[in-house]
Amino acid sequence: MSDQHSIDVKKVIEASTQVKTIQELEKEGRRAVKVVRASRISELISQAVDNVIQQRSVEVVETERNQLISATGEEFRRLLADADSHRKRSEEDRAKVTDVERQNLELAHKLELAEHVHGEDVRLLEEQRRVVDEMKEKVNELKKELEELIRRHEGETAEYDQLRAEVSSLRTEALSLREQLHTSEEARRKAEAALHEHHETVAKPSHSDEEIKDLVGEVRAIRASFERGAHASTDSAEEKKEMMSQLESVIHSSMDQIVQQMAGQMGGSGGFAGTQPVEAAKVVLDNIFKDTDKSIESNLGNITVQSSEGTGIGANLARLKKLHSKGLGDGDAESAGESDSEVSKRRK
Amino acid sequence: MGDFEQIKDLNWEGQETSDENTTTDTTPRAKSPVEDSDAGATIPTSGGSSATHHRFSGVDTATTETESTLPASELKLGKGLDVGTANLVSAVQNDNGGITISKERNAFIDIQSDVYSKRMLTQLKVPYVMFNDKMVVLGDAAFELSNIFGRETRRPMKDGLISPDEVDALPMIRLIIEKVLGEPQAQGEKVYFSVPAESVDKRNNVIYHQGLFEGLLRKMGYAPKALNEGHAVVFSELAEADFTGIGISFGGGMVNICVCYKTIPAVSFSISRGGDWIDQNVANVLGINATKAAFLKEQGVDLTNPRNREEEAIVIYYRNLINYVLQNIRAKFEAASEVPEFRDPIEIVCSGGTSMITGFEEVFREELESIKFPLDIKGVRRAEEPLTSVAKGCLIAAAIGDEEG
Repeated sequence: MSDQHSIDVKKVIEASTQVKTIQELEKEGRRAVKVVRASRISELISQAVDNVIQQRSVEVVETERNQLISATGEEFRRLLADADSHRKRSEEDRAKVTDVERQNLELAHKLELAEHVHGEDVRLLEEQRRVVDEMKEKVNELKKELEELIRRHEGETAEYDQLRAEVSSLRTEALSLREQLHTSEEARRKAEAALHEHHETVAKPSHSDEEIKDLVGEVRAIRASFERGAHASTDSAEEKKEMMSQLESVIHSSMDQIVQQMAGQMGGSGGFAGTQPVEAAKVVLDNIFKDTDKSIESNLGNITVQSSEGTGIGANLARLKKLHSKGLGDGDAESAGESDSEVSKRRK
Repeated sequence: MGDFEQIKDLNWEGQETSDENTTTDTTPRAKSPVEDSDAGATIPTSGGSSATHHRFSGVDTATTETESTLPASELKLGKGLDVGTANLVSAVQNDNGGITISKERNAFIDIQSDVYSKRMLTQLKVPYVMFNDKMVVLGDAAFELSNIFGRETRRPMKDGLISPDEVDALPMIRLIIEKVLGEPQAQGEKVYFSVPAESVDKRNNVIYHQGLFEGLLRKMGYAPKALNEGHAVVFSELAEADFTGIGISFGGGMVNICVCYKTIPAVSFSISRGGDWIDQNVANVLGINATKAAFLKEQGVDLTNPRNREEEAIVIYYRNLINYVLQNIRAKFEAASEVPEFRDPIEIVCSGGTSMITGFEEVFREELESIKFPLDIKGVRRAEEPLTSVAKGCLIAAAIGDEEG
């Protein structure tokens, strides 16, 4: 047999067979397979061909035999080409399946991603809703606060108006009282003059409470003296008694006002008239501070209080001294042509 | 007339006054190096003093000359004490021609007592006392601890006066004052301490408060004298204007106002709202405690530029407080017949811890412009050292009193 008619059995087997794994065979329900070696198949084919040829060689001549072999070979190669074509199509189909599966996987992944993104969006939306709710709540709170402030402001305004009205009323009253005081002081001065005419020993008005009380006592004595009728007729005594009674009333009134004035002066800046600080030297505070007078356990002795440096007071002291040396009527007032009396008047 | 009495208290008219403090102050005391120097020695002018001089145009050069020839001895006498609701501040002259300021918060807090805590507090330089079986932390440290523990501090004073609600107020304030003021340099050393004026919007009385502190300071060995808080601001801040103008102290519990003509207080009164009122209201709207609100307020808020809700709340109440104060001042001036009629416009000086916030002057000016103020105002400014202005004014009163008395 010539080489051109020989068949590559191994190649043929590879081309016309397919590889399957044991698991695939199991899936197809094959539990046992018969295994034939490629070399054995080759031997069997050769043997079969030789048997056919040997049988027919008796009948055909050598030429026919070669033609048959040739035809058989062509037929075999055609079959081989078909098998190869099938294998290629099979591989292409498999590749398509793989591609479809890959696309399927990608789509599944995209779906999963989309679901995740959607979930995140929902969460963000809920968060934003919550923030909006909180802001709404805060706005409501602020509205309430604003309303409260407005209400309070209105209340304070009303109170302020009321206070202004009261202050205005008090101011009018104060002016009236000041006029009364002025009248009283005028009357007191007249009374003093009258008293001086009748009795040289009458005490002059004083800023002392005790002295004013003495003055009243003396007035009473004078009146008693007049009542005894030592100096005048009955008619004139009656007149003088009436006059002295009036004088006493006026002096009492003046005395009360002077005492109130003095109390106001002693009150210090900002104090209400009539209030005055207690003289500290006379105050006993032993009971108030008895708890801290005794020994107390502490670490204060070990700790230094923090201190800092401040600007000096030399300039202020110098200015005070300068002002003091010139007095109220000097300085700015003097330069502006203002006298002490004008400053004093302005103070009043 | 009462105003002139106060002038006498300051021993301006040395020949007319026979003040009790003058007699108690005759106790011999050790002379300081400055006092030992020759009279008329040149006194160094501190940077702060010169800054004060140049605050306005038209500096009175005579003042500077007078200052440079002051006898050195006058710079060593007396002490000033600002008895504030929020802070206790003392001022004393030092050897450098300046003043030394000591400050503590007027607050305390009681904490659990054990040996470990005592040791730790001492190591951390935190002052404490054991009082009625309680460990009590005093001053600034109490404020810090209260913030850490989320608790309110306990306050010896309320609305400018000794607090009737705080049972331990007196012993604690005594301890803080002793710490801030120290012992007298000599028995009977003069100390001027600040007291509030009567309020126009609340019925209160300073007599007990004033008597109490006079007694306490006398017990410590001082010769005490009370000085109105607003008046102290005038002494401290209005020297260039010949002590003429309006001094306002924005404190923790109150706002004190004093209108002065050449040191003479014409009208003094107070308004019973202050920094504490702001803290309390801010705390209410923010749902926090007042100490925390005070802490927020002191963290650097700008009244003209609030950055968050908390700061906006602070701004609202600050503006309301300033407006309330100005409205009350206006009403008082309109009603008070003794308010002097100044020929020239006068200046308003604001001091006190509550005025220290950024933007205070701007807001004050805005609110002032929004109302019809009965006096012509030349300008509004904040004291250079708002927190120490009252103590400094008290020190000036003590020094001039001591020197001339």
